[in-house]
Amino acid sequence: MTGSSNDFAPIYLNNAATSFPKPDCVAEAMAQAVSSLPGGDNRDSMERRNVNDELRIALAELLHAPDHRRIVLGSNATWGLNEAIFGLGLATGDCIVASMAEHNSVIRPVEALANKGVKVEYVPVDVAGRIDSGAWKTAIEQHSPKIAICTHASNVTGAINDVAKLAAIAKEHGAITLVDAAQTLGLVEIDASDPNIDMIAFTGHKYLLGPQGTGGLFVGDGIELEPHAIGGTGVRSDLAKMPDEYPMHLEAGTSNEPSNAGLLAAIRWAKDNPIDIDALTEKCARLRDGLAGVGAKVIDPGAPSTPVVSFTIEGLAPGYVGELLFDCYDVICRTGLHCAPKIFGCLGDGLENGTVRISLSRFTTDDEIDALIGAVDDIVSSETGF
Amino acid sequence: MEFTCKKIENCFTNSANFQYALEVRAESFMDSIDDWASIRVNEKLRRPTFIGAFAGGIQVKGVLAKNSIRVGYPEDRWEDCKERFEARLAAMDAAEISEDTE
Repeated sequence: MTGSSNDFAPIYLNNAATSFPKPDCVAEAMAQAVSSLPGGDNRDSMERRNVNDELRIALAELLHAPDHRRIVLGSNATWGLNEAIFGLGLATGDCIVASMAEHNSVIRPVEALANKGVKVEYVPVDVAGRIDSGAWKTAIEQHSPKIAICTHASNVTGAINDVAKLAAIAKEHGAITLVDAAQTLGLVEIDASDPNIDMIAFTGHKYLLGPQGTGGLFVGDGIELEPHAIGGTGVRSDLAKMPDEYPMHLEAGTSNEPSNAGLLAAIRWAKDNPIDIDALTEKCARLRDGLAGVGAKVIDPGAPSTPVVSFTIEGLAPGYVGELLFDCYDVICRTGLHCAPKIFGCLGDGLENGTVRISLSRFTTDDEIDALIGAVDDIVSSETGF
Repeated sequence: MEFTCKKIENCFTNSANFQYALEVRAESFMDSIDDWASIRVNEKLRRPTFIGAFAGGIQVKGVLAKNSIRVGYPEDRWEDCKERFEARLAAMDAAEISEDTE
């Protein structure tokens, strides 16, 4: 920093993409892992630490998963979703039901299967971005899908879905259920012991406060997936196929142990420092009210919702607003379609270019929120009306 | 004038937006193009900006105090427009532009 009048601290408001900052212990744990003897993958003795197993146990506690061995570690939620969607061996004539709020990490894999003859039905969401349980039920009843996929929360509006209810509806009609918890784990409870929820994909780098490149998939007992990636597992090397036992059935190759150590440290930190959801909800309300007060058109997802606030400014492309926020006010946010292109047709008119998305974290301050509102006020008052 | 160019990706397949790092401040660049573009300056933002609209649909934006500009080309003929814009940029004399405005 040079200390000139043009230097301002960046305001990071893109936590629904990657959370920042992280607790200090995350970097410390990663550095320690890199400078320590590597783990022995699946060959550990009792004397050697097995970070990956410790992480699975911590995640199992968080997810209320009955067996930590059914938590498969990978690089992110996209990895987990791909393992789940492609692992079921769907064929021509099979059907997938998914919501229009899904991220491209679901849409693109299911569209790849659609190109091979699998039928895909998308269920509309309401103007808040929430999956309508009536429409969901109708689609499930009409199409009897092999798998029903829903996001736990929209990454565009923040609307949280009642996944227990949606999964129960799907299960009643024989579907395997998959929940994308990328936007919620660390913020919102989800119960992997619910017999209606078969699989949960999650990521470490958002609200779990872990590093990028961590995540995975919970696979319920009785669900068998064909591995998407095949390779060494450290054990059963005499087999020509992946071992049947979980988690190694889906974990080929050397894992990202340093990053997993970082995620483990983050989860333990969050357990000791529980998030104040009420405070975060108040901050979101302050932000929504402030933005609406200066003339922005704010999407209100109602309760419950994640700390995501999407808005537009009439007459200005969201991408341009994002440029001005970054170039002129050092605000880092996300603009456009947010990798969830199908939802915009459900949210109302005038959203063909997407939205400006602000996503808070537990570390976001009132001063940062007020600075953003002031910046949007400047933009509205000086850039519109031409 | 020497410059470097990078494509700016966004959510849309057909976008044709590029960022250029210049030898001069955007403010100086803006002053040098005011006879061939329609320019609007916004001084009410914390860092003042400009937008220049050229005939043919090329749009140039920038923060006055920075050494970079963003350029948007018409989607249907962006390659031709980009070639012509960059030729014009290359023909500019950075030293002369800076002298004119400092």
